[in-house]
Amino acid sequence: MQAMHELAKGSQITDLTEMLAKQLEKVVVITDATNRILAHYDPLDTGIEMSKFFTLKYHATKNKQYCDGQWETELGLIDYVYFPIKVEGKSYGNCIVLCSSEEMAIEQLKLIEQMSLVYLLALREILQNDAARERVSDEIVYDILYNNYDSKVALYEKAKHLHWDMEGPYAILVVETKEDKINTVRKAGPLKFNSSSPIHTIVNEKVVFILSLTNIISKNIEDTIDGFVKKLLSNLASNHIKDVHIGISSTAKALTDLHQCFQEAKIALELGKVFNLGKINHFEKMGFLKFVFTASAQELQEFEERILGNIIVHDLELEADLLDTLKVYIEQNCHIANTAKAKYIHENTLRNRLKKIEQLVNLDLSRIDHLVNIYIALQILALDFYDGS
Amino acid sequence: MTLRQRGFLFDPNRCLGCRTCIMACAANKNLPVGMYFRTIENQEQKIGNLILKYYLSTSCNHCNNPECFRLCPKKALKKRKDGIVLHDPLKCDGCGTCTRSCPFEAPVINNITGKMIKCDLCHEKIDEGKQPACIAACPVKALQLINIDEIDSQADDIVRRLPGVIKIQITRPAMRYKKLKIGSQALRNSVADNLEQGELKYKDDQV
Repeated sequence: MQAMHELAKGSQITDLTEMLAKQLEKVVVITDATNRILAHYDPLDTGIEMSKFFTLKYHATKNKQYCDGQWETELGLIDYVYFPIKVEGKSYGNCIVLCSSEEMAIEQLKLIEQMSLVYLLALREILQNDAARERVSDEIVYDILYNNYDSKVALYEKAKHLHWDMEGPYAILVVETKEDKINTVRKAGPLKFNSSSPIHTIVNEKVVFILSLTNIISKNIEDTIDGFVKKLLSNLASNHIKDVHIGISSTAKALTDLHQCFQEAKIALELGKVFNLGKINHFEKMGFLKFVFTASAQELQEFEERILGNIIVHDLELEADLLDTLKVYIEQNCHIANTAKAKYIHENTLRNRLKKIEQLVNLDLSRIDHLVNIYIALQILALDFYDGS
Repeated sequence: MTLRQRGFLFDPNRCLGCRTCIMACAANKNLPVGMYFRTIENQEQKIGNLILKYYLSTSCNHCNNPECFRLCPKKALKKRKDGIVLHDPLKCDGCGTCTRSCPFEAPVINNITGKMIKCDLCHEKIDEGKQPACIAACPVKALQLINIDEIDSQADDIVRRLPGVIKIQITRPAMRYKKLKIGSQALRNSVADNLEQGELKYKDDQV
């Protein structure tokens, strides 16, 4: 009842947590539905350090009101009991008490159960406020990302109103993951980057982070961004999200150049997926690949067919494996022994195949200019099989 | 923020190659003589023993990752909240970067003004709740305006590419196609019959 009064008087979730922790005489942590820590209070001064997320290990217990688990810390394993704060069909967060379930008295359990309702109301308000703030910010971010504004002055005014750091340069990070995890990825972004809060939004099932690079010298930019990505991935791992692809743009001097960076980050992400370049892809490191697909698609296809057409036809007619052999040979840096090993064939078989390939494509595999053509044709072929889904 | 991406749905089984879409677009946009935003190609593809013949009507695909938009040095292109890529002639100096960078060669240079012009999906008409000129003019309803995100999860007879359509999809064109059906010429006749009676009914399984 007292907590309800406190909430009505305008007390924050941190005040409520302090009140509960003092009454329980235990460490209390409140998280939202994405396990982000919103408040914690340690009445015992245990010195346990909290990060941004509390990784819950879900356990079903006989008692449906609460579950228990163990938290791995530098001080060793710590028992905890957590109470889901939810209504039917929607979870708002968790109330976590650092102790084992045996240490909880019946009165304490009852107290937490009563407090859950107060937390539910407080968390709902936080959620609504966050959503309203994000709606306003998303509108402006969208206009920036798609160059969709009439006046630069008005744009800067809006940005100023939202307390954004308007000094460039900037970089953009685009994160793609499963659709149902998108909101969690947005919330998992580190709170600070280069001593300011990164601007974030969701556009077409991708999370976009706008990072201000003010006062970072150019040779340190990449390392600083990588540090941000590392923290982000660590936060995502706390939420059991591992399947992500990240595209990172080059730098933009001003807010009004960000639309180009946004496209670069998306292209880096897409090319990384097409060419299996790994989870994290910097646009600036894409080399010639970033130029390849900006040529006329018709010309690219004709180039690819001219170089590889005969091999593809040969493979289809004789059910042979020359195209894949060539791919692996290029992947293995033209190393005969490694290619033979990767293809599970004898080196002499490989040499015969390479001879056949040279005859079919009418190119010399020992010449760098011919190899470059073959490499580009293979990359275009990889683009062909990518349907964007 | 989830944004709707508008785009075209093209049904090659219905298209007669009559070029009405091209003419309606050119008339609506007052294009100079001989310049068009839309093209009709006669596609002939051999798949196994089958020879597929159909007409393909294309224009700007209003891509999700438009290269013209990224590379324009004058920042003359923008993308609306419904995904339509628009061009600002006041900013454009006709350098042609966009025409060279588009994998689909959709933007063209206007010979008279020397500036780029491209399909704008008749966005004013869309804002008024009307259909773009090409779609409204098509006598066999081979073109439709769709929300790409909705259609991808709905229909299983819709594909991202047809045989003969440019394979490179990394710009994520906002274009979808109905699957080709064998014997589509017979289908066209039945469409014409139905149109004479004032109604448009299709026998989709007709072979």
